[in-house]
Amino acid sequence: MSLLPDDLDMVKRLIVKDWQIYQKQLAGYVVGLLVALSLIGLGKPWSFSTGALLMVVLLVVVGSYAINSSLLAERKEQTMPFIMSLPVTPTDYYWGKLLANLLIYLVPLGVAAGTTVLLIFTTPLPDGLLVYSLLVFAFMLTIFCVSLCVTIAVESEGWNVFTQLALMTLLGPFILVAGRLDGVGAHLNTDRIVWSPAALAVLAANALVVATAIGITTWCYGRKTSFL
Amino acid sequence: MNYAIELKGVHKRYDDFALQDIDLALPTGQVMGLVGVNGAGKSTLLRVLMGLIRQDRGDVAVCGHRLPDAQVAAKRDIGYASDDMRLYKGQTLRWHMDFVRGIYPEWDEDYAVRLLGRFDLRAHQTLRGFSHGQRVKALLLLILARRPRLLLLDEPTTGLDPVARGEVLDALAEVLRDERRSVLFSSHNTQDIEQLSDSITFLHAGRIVASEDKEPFLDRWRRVLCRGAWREDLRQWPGVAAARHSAPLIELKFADFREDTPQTLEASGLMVESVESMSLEDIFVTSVREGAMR
Repeated sequence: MSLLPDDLDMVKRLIVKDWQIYQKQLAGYVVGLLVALSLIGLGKPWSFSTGALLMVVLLVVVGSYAINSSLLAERKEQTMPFIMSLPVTPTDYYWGKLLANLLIYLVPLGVAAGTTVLLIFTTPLPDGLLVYSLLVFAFMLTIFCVSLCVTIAVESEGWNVFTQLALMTLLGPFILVAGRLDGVGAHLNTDRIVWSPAALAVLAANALVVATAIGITTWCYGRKTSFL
Repeated sequence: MNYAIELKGVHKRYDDFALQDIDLALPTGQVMGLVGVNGAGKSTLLRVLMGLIRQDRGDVAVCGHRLPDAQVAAKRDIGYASDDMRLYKGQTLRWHMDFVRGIYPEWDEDYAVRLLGRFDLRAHQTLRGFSHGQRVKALLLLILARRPRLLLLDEPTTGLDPVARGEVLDALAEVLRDERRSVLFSSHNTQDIEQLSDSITFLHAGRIVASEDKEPFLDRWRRVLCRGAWREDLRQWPGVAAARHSAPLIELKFADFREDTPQTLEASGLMVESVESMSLEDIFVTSVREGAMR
């Protein structure tokens, strides 16, 4: 069983390949996110709500786009045989796909999260929003990672679509519940940044879910000695 | 003798198909054509040779690398193309060339540029705008320009128009002039195989039913036209693969024709009208219909 990449240079080439293929579309999403963040930065109640909603939608869509384009489309459009013909092992391919997708998602997520933090500190928006915002971003990253791992591990389009939709439906309830968390909701409209035990526990739970999903998928792929 | 490919007792079983008892050897520098109907197991065999499929049992060695364990080393020496392989349609051919060049230090840029001209391909055009023939030629360019020791080609000329097919075959013929390079290619087009191969392997229902040098193989097959009374026992004659009566002629196809066969036929009361060579296609069709080599 091989859990770690056999050829780091090859993994790097696969990551760069996916990045180059999807960078133009990604740029479009980043522009959309900047528009959403501009609306949030206006500081008006209507623009804040519109901007926040647009940002969440765009992050969900970009996650789904990354997975569908670089994994499912590679199978559908039969570019995978080309990649399999290169000197790569299934483990190299797995790490290449995992890290490329994380990169593709973390760029817009990083832009959104970083700009949100900047807006919170540089505009009249209450600083107490910081903890809540980061919890939502962390949850979105978790949803993306789990969807990604399921798509890599389960080569069934039906299961992939089901997983992605099921996880997306959790986002709305999480946004509501996170706002009512002990020590989070109480400071939403204040300038105090409080990392309550409940908030830290949610962050830890997210990290645990991500680590578990990646761990299981790595184990599944590590057992593969051939692609097919 | 050095072998580019060696398979011994290879089995691979699926629910509805099995590759069985595969023993095959391709000497270095030779070209082998793989012939079989759809579902015969040609693609499965080529994937085993790429290390993409792990055999249930048996030994597979390609360019001295045991598979699938040494699949990375083997794939550095193999150029593989299959008819279900596609390139990234949103990227240019130049992007693909740079991607492959970065992986294979043996990449020959001068040769790649020559192939661009020969195949009439534009490097800065995206693959989306390529016809099927151009996509096949682009794929072959990417493989040939890195000078692999072994080419595994799964239906390389399928779906090509006659002009594109000719260009691809010419390029392959040029590659074959290098005696260190070996090729195994499957095709439905037996003309291609007859034109390029040194040896021929027939695969049927997951088994190798014949694997021989081309010339003696073709030489053993003959179509004999006779006149005389039709008898059912003609089908059971030694070496007869197929017998057909279309009065007034009797057509006998021999899988094992011998010099004295015409005399033997005459002695049995038939008058031999002609003895003709058979094309590989005719041999293939006869074999599949009559189970001549099973």
